[in-house]
Amino acid sequence: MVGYPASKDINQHPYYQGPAGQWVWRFYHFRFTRTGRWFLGLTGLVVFILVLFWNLDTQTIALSLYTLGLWFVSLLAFLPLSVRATLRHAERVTAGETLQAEVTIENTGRLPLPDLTVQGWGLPLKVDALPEDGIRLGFLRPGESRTHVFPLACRGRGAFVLGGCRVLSDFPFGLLQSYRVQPLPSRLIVHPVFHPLTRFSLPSGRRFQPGGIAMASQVGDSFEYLGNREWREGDNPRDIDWRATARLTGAAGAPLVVREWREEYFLRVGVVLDTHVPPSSTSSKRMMLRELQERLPGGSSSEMRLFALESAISLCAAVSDALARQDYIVDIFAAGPKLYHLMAGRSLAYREQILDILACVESSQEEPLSQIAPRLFEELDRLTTVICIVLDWDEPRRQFVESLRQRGVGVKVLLISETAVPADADMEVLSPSVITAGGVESL
Amino acid sequence: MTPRPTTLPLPIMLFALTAIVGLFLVSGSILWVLAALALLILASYVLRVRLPQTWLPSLLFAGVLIGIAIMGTPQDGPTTPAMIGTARGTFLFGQAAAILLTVQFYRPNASDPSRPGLFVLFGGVLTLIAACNSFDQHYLQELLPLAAVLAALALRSVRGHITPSKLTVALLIPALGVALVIGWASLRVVRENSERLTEWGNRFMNERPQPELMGISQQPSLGPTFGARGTNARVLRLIGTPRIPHLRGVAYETYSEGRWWPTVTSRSMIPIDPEQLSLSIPRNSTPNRVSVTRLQNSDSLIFFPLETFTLELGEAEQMEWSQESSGPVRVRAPQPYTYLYQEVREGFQGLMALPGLRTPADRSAHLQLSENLTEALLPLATQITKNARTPQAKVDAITTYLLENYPYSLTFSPPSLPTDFGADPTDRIVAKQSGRREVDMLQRFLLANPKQGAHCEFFASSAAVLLRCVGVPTRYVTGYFAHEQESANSLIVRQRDAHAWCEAWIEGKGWVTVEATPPTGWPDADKSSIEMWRQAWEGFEDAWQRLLVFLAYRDPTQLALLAIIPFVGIGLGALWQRRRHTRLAPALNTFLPPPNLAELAHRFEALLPSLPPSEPWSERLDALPEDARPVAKRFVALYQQARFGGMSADSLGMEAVLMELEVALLQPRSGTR
Repeated sequence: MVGYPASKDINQHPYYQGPAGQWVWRFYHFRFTRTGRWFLGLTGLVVFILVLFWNLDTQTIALSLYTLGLWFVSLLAFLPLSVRATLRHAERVTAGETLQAEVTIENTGRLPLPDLTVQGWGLPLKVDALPEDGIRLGFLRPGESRTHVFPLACRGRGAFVLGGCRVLSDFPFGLLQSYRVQPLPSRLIVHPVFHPLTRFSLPSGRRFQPGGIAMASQVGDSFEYLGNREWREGDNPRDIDWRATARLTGAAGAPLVVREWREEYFLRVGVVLDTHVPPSSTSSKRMMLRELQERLPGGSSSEMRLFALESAISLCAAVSDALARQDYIVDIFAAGPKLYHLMAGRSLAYREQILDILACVESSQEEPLSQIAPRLFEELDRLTTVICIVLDWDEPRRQFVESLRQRGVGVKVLLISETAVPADADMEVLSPSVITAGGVESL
Repeated sequence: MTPRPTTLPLPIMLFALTAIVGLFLVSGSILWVLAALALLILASYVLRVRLPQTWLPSLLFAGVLIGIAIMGTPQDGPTTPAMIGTARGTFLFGQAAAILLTVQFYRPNASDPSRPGLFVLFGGVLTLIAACNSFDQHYLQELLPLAAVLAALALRSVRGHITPSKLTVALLIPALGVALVIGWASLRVVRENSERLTEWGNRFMNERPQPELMGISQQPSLGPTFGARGTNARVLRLIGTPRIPHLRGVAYETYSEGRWWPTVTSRSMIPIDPEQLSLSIPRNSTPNRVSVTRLQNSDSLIFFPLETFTLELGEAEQMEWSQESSGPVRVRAPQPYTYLYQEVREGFQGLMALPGLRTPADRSAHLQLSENLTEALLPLATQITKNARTPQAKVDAITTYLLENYPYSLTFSPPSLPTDFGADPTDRIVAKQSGRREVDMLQRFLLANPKQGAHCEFFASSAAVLLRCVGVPTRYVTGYFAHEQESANSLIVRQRDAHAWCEAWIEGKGWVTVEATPPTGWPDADKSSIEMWRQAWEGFEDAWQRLLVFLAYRDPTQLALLAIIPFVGIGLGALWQRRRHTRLAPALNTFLPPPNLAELAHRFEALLPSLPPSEPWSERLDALPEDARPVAKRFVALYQQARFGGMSADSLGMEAVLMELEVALLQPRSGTR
């Protein structure tokens, strides 16, 4: 019960899942302030000592009764809170940033409301209200409204729904609080944080790249100039390079010279994101023993694996961003909990969409490559290169990469691991902590 | 210029000072350490010195202060104030709490600014608890309301309220006033009713509040239902191996109109000299020692067999018995109360059998019967005992008659006899007015045709009355029938085990127990199980009693330490959680092997068959070809030595073994030609 802030969504509590448990949790957190909980313990101690010795001739009874008097008045002073709240905030923010939401509270009742506080309510686990125990509004007269900045620290990426806010008053002694929940559901997407790459080199495949999307997106955009050649029948007279023709005029039977142009295409690059985080088995004695005895490179615990996944997502965002800036079309493939495929690049959905997708990606307990492979192979004919960002390097991944290479696609493997060593030339091992610290500037 | 250090809000400081002053006054101004602490608190608003965030300096600081407090606290003497437990222990506890709160003024917490304030509140209340342990006022009557007001303001300031508006202050003042009035008024009510409340509290803590639930009534009366029928609540716990199940409580001599007299409350009780409760051990007898714990303490009666020759009542506030009717013995003692008795063979004339029927008056008292009843029952008694010549033979004959002719039943439907006017009270009044005789309940039972079943009170009374009719002195006894085994060495007696029997005086033998109730009516015939909730409650009661006993034998210093243990535990748990949380990643990294070993391990891992990651190497080795296994085991041994054996890594040796393993794995298998 202790340690789970009252502003969080109770449905995400690891233990209090049932209605009775949630009621107890709400009662404990919503009705008692933090000082109230401390003072409740102290009151219990005083009463316990009183009952233990049960001697009314000592002064303990006086101490108990004055303490209980404070509680009694706190109970009597429960105020009916007639308030209305509105909450405004930006829809997108990057992980690690603090969202400056704005909350307006209006006293719609006839009574003045002292010691008002506004707290977050139903916030996701990764979004913290600052400060956690709420913003003091003080005294609010009838009909008066007050607007406050309501900072929300977004600790991790994700697509969330903010529950709303809770207006409370702990008048008079800060022990018990009367409150009113204001459900104001609103959507918030927290993008993964990433550090842009200054350079990103791609291995090219052996295949001719037939497909792609024309770079010129509208009439009038320039084509790539290839060179001059002799005029052939059917050439557009507008392409005749008169200056070059003039330079050759002295020769007998000098031909007309025309400029030759070529339609230019974007190259398409696939980015495969490995989201596999095996179920935690540290609870088993065997795994614990193994962790203690034979902790091997790559064989990481769930926490470390999740950390590696976050780093991989961050790297995926950086790679996609770098590719899109270099006039590539990026196809992102990720699985977890469902299969995501997003094509992004210039004139198409760009950074925001990429980050939206990456914000939603979650870890997958099942092997994700088996989900990604069919979709990827459908698109493979139109892809020049595939970048695989993997969290592990085992037989299934090795086979997956090998099958891509056999189809003539250039493959670059980015293995996210603290301790692994590169297995082949087109593999780079990147440390999650280095990625997180922004230490990867070029690849 | 050094920035001004963080200080705690004024109400918190004032509350802390009030608590310290309270303890100082209670001590009679001898605890000069408290004065020093108060000065230290005030100095924190002037001095710029602060303790670092780490625990050790604060612990050292507090440890030094506690050491000084221990040295400065005098032993208990004639001038020491009266308290529960030792005053020195209480003072040390209070001073430790005061030191705890004083340290908070020098230890601001940047990450959680309200925490020092909460600790001050905590320490302040503990200091006040220590001060309030006193029996004397010592200005506490005036100080406690002030402390309550300051505590309320301190609670507000800990919460970090912004400067209150005038209207908030205007609302706050009456709220504080109401709280004080409630405290003062309820204190006055408590003071006025302190005796009654003390009694209630004692009952709640030590006794059950319903005397009738003991299963033993103040006066047995024969009625249609068994008056002493009790619930499954526990009454006594017997530790030892008692041989005699009849634990007698009260004996009655006089029978009149369906009731036995005198009532328990009407008996004159005299204080017991503990030496009176011991007889010399009879020859050729092996004494059996039984310890009895009273689990309910409603009427303070002591239950033990007739054959008891020694009764050790232990430490009791008041011991008395009623000699005129051979008991009962009554002991007032705080819970848990345990006494011991020693019994010998059945038939021995124990404490309650003495002094016997020495005078004719004693004898006639135990032969008392109304004329009407004698007239009605004498023919039956004579007929039953016509062949019996001795008192013992008469006892046997009457017991056998009752056992063989009357069934047992918890209820008795009084039949109308030919000479009767019925059992209806209205009929009785009418009949009395008309001069007709009232028929006794025993007559209805014994003379009914056909014979009806009844409960043990009828059988015991019938035996007593019939024996009296034929000249054998008897008395009616109520008590318990101990039979329920709790463990190999203990018995439990419940309210439902309440029973009645009679004792008969046999010349040359003395008092003997006469059990005339059919075996189907003995309490051990009741096979109904104990309810689940009651079993759980009994488990809780036992645990609570054990805790009370445990605490009762601790001195205040130990109690203070025990009170601190949970907080220390919580604190250590929180620290551990915090450390685990903040150092998880580095801690995990420390498990990782050094890079050179990691590379070798990785290569080795690649050679092993792919199995789930939770499989240790030792289990994967079985999947290797037989000729490769010894080499693999050698590598594992080398790796373990280098990783965990404290030896430096022999990289070259391990490299060689690894290559050997690779070669062994590359060789064609004998079975794959």
